[in-house]
Amino acid sequence: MATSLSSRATQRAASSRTASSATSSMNAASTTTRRANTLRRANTLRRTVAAIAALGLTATLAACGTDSSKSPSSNDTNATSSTTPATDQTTEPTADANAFPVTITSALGDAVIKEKPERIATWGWSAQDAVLSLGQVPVAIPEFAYGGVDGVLPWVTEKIEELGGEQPTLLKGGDNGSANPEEFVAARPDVILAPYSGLTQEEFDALSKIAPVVAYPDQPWATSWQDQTLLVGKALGLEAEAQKLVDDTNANVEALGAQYPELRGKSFAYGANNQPEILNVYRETDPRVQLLTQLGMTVAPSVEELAPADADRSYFFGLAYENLNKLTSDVLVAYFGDQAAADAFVKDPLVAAMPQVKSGAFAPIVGESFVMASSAPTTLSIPWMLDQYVPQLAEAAKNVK
Amino acid sequence: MSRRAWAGLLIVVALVAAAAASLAIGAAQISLHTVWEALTSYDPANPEHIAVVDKRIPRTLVGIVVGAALGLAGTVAQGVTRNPLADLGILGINQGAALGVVAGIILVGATAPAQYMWFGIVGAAAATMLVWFLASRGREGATPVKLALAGAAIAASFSSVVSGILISDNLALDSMRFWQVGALAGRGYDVLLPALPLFVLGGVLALALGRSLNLLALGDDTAHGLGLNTGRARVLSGVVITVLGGAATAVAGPIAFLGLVVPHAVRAIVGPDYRWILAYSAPVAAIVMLVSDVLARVVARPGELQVGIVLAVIGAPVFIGIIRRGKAAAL
Repeated sequence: MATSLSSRATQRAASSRTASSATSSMNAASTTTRRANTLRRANTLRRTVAAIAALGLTATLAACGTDSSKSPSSNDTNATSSTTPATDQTTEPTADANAFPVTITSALGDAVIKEKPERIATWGWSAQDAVLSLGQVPVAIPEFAYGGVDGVLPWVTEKIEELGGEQPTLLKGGDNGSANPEEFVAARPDVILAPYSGLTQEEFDALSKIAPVVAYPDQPWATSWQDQTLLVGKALGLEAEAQKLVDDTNANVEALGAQYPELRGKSFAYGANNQPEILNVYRETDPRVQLLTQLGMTVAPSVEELAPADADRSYFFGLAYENLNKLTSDVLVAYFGDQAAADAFVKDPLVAAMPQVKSGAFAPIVGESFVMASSAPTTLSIPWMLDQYVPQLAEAAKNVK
Repeated sequence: MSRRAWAGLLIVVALVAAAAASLAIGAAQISLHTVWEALTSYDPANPEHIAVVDKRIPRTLVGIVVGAALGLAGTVAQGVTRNPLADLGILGINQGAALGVVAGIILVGATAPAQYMWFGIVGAAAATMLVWFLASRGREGATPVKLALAGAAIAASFSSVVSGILISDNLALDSMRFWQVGALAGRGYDVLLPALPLFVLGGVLALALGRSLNLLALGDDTAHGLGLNTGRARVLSGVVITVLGGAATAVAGPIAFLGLVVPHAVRAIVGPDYRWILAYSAPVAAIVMLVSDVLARVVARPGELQVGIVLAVIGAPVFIGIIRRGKAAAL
């Protein structure tokens, strides 16, 4: 039977309140884990719940409620379209002092930032990268067990050294499911930045009592890296700088993409095997997918054709190995924590039978830090990994038959 | 024909049908014609043939073996503890196996079921022996009540050790998570064949325990008076539960309700004679396992669910129904 352990494990994996309250009463306000290889259990669980409903037992689970954190926010005042930046520049000068007070509306509520924040806490993925890129060192960042060295991602460590700031406090729970308000209290932040996270409404409300919280503009875990950077820039009164960072990084990505013409127009499917006989396929709302489209590749039509109807709001869906032959694309990209996992993947007869794998048009992304960098592209992680990433993709693209 | 004979015939037919369904139905919709083609003229380059022959056949066999083992182990657990609510968890099997699997993941970096299976079996055996040892203290020996108490205590302590380890080791947690739910996916011959001797040994022993369980059901004094060596009967039962339950749990993860519900359902059909309950519980549990697994493959297309989730969803209401009908009180 479900031991306390199994419910804990499930809860940890859950990123939606629905899932966690269905499986655990230990911690009502569970948040998301956004680790590269535990990714997206949230949606697995959400779909699990849906499938249980399909078994005719909706009533028992309905009490668990729907995920209010997913309720789409109406007026999303700040998030710009990721592909067309530079449209929401205000007429105000970008000098810090004039940028405040500023109100940033997210799907979970408003963050009213009265003056330029000095002590910054970040939550979820990637926000710490944006803050560092803008020249500030956060006082608290989430611990990254996956891909991190002593809990800190390598490009974050490099940037902190470069800026010469104090080492941030590492917030537990980034790997474990939920934000612990006590740790935030201890960090005494002026602002909490979580534009790319799985914060629940409860967590947002609890954290908002400590400091203004900038959550995701629309859906959890579906904010482009450009929007993340711009949101952080707005919160810090550095909108123009953020815009420039985004523009420069966009230009770098596109320039490197142009150096490898074999990438242009090639269709791809992006997956991860985190569960026996299942390939999680990422959809267009996921930043790692968006990065490849920015390099000139296109998302294979088979991805949306295969996506189940109930996955409308999810950035990924699980595909059983039996259905891999329907995942047609020029290139197959998938990430693995280590080489052994990559080897085991291609050894499976159904994987080996995929045309992409047979012809060598398969680009395995191997190694935790590298996986983290390509899974959570930011203005810091993109320069850190792109020179390694793009040639690997190009190598696979050359083998497309 | 007697009621038991009819039931037996029905079970055979149902088992064949469930196995056929398990070959024909999966996450991918493969036509019956192609399934037949895969079985008769296998083309190793055809993904649909690979799915049927290299995936569905071993998965079906694992389902039958694990299901039957859980049915037998559950029956023996209920018989020997005279506890109608006993399942494998009561003897600490699940938690013991979990601790073993975690140890395997941490100590030797086991990642695939075929690797950590043995650790799970050893862990389950260690837990059961510890429970037995604790329950045997004192004059009366391992009585059902003491077994239940010792089992609960060991289960709780093992489970906290596992939680403690997993909180501090995220990579172990990743490998554990899918074992924890209970699934047949990804378990092939590499898991089944090495464990097969254990299943055969445990199965034979279990089927031979019918008479002992019948006598134990009369109470220790009566059983003793009728010539049963109750101590030996209990030890043998413990061995069966450990071997079958431990191996099944190590292979597929903790599967809830199967070992609990199936003996009750079978008892309702064949009566209280454990020789019959044992003989029928094995195939019935295999059928339930296969049907649940087929459901698990189709309710979440294009992905699939873990069978443990489906069994929990099906098992809970069935179990509540059994309790409400009052059948459970009769042990």
